[in-house]
Amino acid sequence: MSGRKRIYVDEGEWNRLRQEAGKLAELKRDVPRMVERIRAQTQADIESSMREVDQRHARFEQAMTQLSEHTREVERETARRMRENNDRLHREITAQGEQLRAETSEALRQQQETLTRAVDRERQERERKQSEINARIDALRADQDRAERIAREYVADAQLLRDQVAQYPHDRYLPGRVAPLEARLSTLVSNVNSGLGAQSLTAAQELVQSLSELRLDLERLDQEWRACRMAAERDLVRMRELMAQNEKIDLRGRVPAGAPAELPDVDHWSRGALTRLATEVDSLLAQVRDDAQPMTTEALLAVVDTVPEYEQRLETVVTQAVTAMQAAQLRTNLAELIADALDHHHHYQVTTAGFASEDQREAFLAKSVHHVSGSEIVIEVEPGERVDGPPLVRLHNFDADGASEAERSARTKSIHRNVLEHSGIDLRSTEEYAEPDDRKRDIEPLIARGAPVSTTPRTDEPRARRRA
Amino acid sequence: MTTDLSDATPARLTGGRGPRPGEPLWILHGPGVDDRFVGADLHVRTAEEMLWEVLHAAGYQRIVFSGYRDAVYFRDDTSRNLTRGPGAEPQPRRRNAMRRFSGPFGDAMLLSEPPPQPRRPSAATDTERLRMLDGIMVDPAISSAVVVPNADTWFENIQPDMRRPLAEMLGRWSAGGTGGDNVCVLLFSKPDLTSIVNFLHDQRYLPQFTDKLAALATRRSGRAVGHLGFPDETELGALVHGTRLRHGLRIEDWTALPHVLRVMVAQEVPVKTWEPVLRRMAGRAALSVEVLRERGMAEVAVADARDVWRKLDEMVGMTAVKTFLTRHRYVLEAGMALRARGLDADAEPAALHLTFTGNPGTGKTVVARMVGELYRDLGLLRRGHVIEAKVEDLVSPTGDTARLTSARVRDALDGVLFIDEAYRLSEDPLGLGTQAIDVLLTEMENNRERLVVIIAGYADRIDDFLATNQGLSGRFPRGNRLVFPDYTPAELHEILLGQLRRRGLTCADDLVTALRTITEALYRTRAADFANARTMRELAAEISTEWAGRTRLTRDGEISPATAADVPEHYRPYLAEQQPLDQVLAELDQLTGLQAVKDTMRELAAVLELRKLQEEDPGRVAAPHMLFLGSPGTGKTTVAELMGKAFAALGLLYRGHVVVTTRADLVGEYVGQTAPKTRAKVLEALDGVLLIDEAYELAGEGNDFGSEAVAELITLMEQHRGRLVVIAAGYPDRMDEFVRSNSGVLSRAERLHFADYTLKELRSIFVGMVEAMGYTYEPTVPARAVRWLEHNRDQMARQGREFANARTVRNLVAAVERRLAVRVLKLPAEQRRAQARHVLAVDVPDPEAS
Repeated sequence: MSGRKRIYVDEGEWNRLRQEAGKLAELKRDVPRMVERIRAQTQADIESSMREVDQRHARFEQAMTQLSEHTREVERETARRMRENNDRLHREITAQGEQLRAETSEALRQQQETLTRAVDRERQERERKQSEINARIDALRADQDRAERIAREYVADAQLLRDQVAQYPHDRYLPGRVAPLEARLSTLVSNVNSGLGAQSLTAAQELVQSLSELRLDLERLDQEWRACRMAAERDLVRMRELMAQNEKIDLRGRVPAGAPAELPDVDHWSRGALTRLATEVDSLLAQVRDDAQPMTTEALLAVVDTVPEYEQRLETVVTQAVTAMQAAQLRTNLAELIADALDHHHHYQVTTAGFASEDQREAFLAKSVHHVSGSEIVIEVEPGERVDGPPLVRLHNFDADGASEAERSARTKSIHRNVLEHSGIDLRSTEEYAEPDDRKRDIEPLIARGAPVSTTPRTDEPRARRRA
Repeated sequence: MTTDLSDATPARLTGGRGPRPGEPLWILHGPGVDDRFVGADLHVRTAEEMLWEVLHAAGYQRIVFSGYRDAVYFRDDTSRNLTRGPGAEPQPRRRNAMRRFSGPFGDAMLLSEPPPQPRRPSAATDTERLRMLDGIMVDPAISSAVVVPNADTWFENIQPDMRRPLAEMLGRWSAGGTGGDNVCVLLFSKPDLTSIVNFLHDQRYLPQFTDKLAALATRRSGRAVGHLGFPDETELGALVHGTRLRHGLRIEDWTALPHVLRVMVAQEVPVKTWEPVLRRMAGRAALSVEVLRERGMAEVAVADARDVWRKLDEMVGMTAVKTFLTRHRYVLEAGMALRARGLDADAEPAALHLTFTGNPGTGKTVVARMVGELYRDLGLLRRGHVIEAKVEDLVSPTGDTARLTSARVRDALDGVLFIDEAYRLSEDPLGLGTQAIDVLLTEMENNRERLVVIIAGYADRIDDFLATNQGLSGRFPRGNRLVFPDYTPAELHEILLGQLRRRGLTCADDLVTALRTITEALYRTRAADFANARTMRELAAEISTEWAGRTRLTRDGEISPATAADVPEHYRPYLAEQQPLDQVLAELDQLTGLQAVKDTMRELAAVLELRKLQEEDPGRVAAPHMLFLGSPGTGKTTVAELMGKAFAALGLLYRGHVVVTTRADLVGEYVGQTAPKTRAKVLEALDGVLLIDEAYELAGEGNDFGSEAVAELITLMEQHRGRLVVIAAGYPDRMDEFVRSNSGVLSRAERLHFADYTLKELRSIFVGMVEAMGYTYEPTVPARAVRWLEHNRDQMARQGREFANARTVRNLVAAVERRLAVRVLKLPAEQRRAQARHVLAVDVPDPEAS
């Protein structure tokens, strides 16, 4: 006697079917819409960032008018070229957003190199000019008064440049570099005020030079950071948009028969995996955008590097959802074939059928009744133990007057044959329990909405990630 | 449940033609169960379709079929839906789509369908089959019929572990454990219910059910068993007309159609064979017996459909038969007319079974065939064919009697079973015949409308037979007895000439005359088993053979008529001119001595002639058996021969020849040899004289077979009274003893005493013999011979031995001849011839030397 038959679907056969159906899980990408969305969400940030940079340049140029002639001579060209650099970067970032190039981090590295090379060239040019000026000043050094006057001018320039440096988040970019310079400036100021100006000329010259270099470094690092942040933000926004575009699965024209009007929900079918992924992306985006606690350039670069991985994960989630749907469909298909076999060969007629708790992700139940003898068979097709594993079929035989084991085994054989004939799936069955599960006899409450689902624990992780 | 018959019910469905109220089984059997059927509406149906319609017309709401491939199947939606629950049926199956369920992809079938597999038998088990059928049968709410088209296969192939449950289920149904009027229809290809019962009995697991069926077999009322045989004329007629209307089959000759249909019926071929044959014929040939024959579909010949009465009129004689059949026909027709008007409410229908009494060859079989045709024409039998059965065909010494009898009855169903010498059934010493009678009576009752039995034989024995069994006498009423008298000599003559004509022979006048003599003689000498027309047929055949041998007709030769020369040898004695009595008596007078014998014989001849004058029928006077008492050599054989001639001259024996026998001719050495030996001699002597020399030798001692010969002889003498004269010869004293011990026929025999010859008579016998041999003799020769004979007689008497009278004389003559021969051959050659025929005294042996 076996009240319950457990029927296994051959795993190889099952995988073949699943692969065939896996083509359905391709990600949807509406590129123009995505570009539009990215522009809408990141353009303001880019603009404000650029405005900030512009304003700083403007302030520096204003400050430059107060610099001594020899310092101004060095800084003027630098300021012009740095501004040109900045403009070019702005243009590149905008273009990047429109092209939606995938290799963001690579582009960022190229930009950094270009910038570093430009700054190096600038530094060499400045050093050349500086030495010319130094030569001129050395000639005046014998004149005590003139020397003191020039020293005072350099101290004033140093104070001006220190104020400009202070406008950069130098503690973040180059922590510890400003404080020694500040100390040197204080010493110089007190020396000059003590009348030791002529003796302090060289020190004042060097300090101005150091501050000028520091500002150049800060300018480069700032440009780098801004590029990275903008790239990270844009990638994350693009990611979110991709998720938004794939929240529903459009199966129209991709399945043999007509799909229901309402598009299936990926989050529902993936059992919340999509939401979990979105939350992760959202929180990262918030971090990137957090001006109060800005991320370092390295951290931003790391974010940019992570984005392709998120895309892959999204793909997996969608596949998972489609697979789950397909598994649900296959559960009904199997139940149908079994019901066919029972009806055609054994005169069992289906009376009630549905998914447990009206949830298509759950087991499919169908009750068939032999009207002459009163015997009943409940067909239960449960999802597999893994989300992409083959389903488990159970037959609960409720016989009116206790059929023999031979009868049950013949029925099972007939079912196998019918399923094999119509699907090529070879079902093998083993005896599970001697007596049928009485809780499965009346399936009406089981398939009602809101019924407690007593599914076996299963892992949501697919066994192997596949690219569609 | 009504039992109205539908248009679909074929005429050949006989017996139980529909389910019977209160009977959960309806058994159908016969070769037709897997045939196709033509209903009154000319529609051709399969057996299943036919049954569906019949059951549907009978009011069954649900009709379910159970076969080997499909445990349960339906032929109509109503039945199917009644077996299923309420609610919509799933949509018809579409490719790549589900019919019942719906998933996230709607009704899409994602599983790819492999190419269709060859159809295999259903995987449903017998358990399920039984539960399903049981469920249907016990459901009182829906009147249901379960049809099992191949019950033979079904019962034979049921899973071994399901046999007990099946037996239990059938037992329950049989005991009335079914709902309402539900019925289970079982179709067996077996020819009859007995075979089904035997088959089920051999299955061994259905004892109760087998008993139930056996009970159905013997039940007198309530037909739960129907037979489906081969199509009859009605059904084949419907098939022919259907083919004519649908496929344009032409009929060659409308007036011949009934005969064509009879020919078709006689082939015993199913409709499923006829259907394509007729359809192929449509548009190519017109239906006729010739066309059927060309196509190999008329191999069983059927006599032409001439009217029974005309045929009867053409038969020679048979006045009584003709009168009886005419009257019998009116009786039957009147009965049918009254029944049709409902006026015979309680009357038993006129009995159809007949008794024919009469000798062999009086046309009983022919008339039985006519009766079959008559009954068929009257609509009382469907086929009217005749199955002839001898007792050997019905009784088996190996215990197979019931089966043999049943099988014969099956063959005869819808026709006539003609049992010749039926009384031999009750005369069987082992009582096996009684069993056959019982089976026969049962079958006659069960197949009241399908079986007519005609029993035939000798009248007195038929009477005894019917008296042994109440059931028999009830079924063969006296009014249905038809007496076949022997043909008169004139009729026999006419039949014989007719037979010869039919053989293409013309008869010369001398032959016609000779045959008249022969037929008269045959009639006169006929025994109880005279074969009448059969003998004429045989005689005609023999004449034909003689004629062919004599005339040696070649292909182009002229046909000469048959003449008296063509009468076969063993019929010639009937033609032999008889010697007149006077001549015979004159011959007797010439015998030496025997005066007493001569006197007795003259008196006897006179008495017999007187008897013939006294009797109205001179044929009843029979020649007496005789005892010839006397010593050897006293002329008994010679007198017996003359006696035969005398009886022939008196017309008391037809031939009057003498067959001389002794014990050795009649008694065998081993068990079983004696009676045939005796019978052979008797038959040889028939119409003549059987002379048994030293008859008392037959009375042997102990277990001697001689007494058997005597018993057989006495039986045969009784049987062939008037055709055989037995003469027992021997010494008077021993003969007396023998006759006393075998009191009976011989005790009343005429006694003739043959006295020993006197010396004078011996002398005259000797002289007569020598002269008869053409010898001359010296005058002293007779005296010398008498001396020798006297000496011999005295010597024998001294030795206590019998003197052999004339036989001793004959021996003496032979001795004389030898001595003559030796003497003459010693003479010179030239003298021999002259002495060759002259007996000298020296040729007679010396008495002292003998």
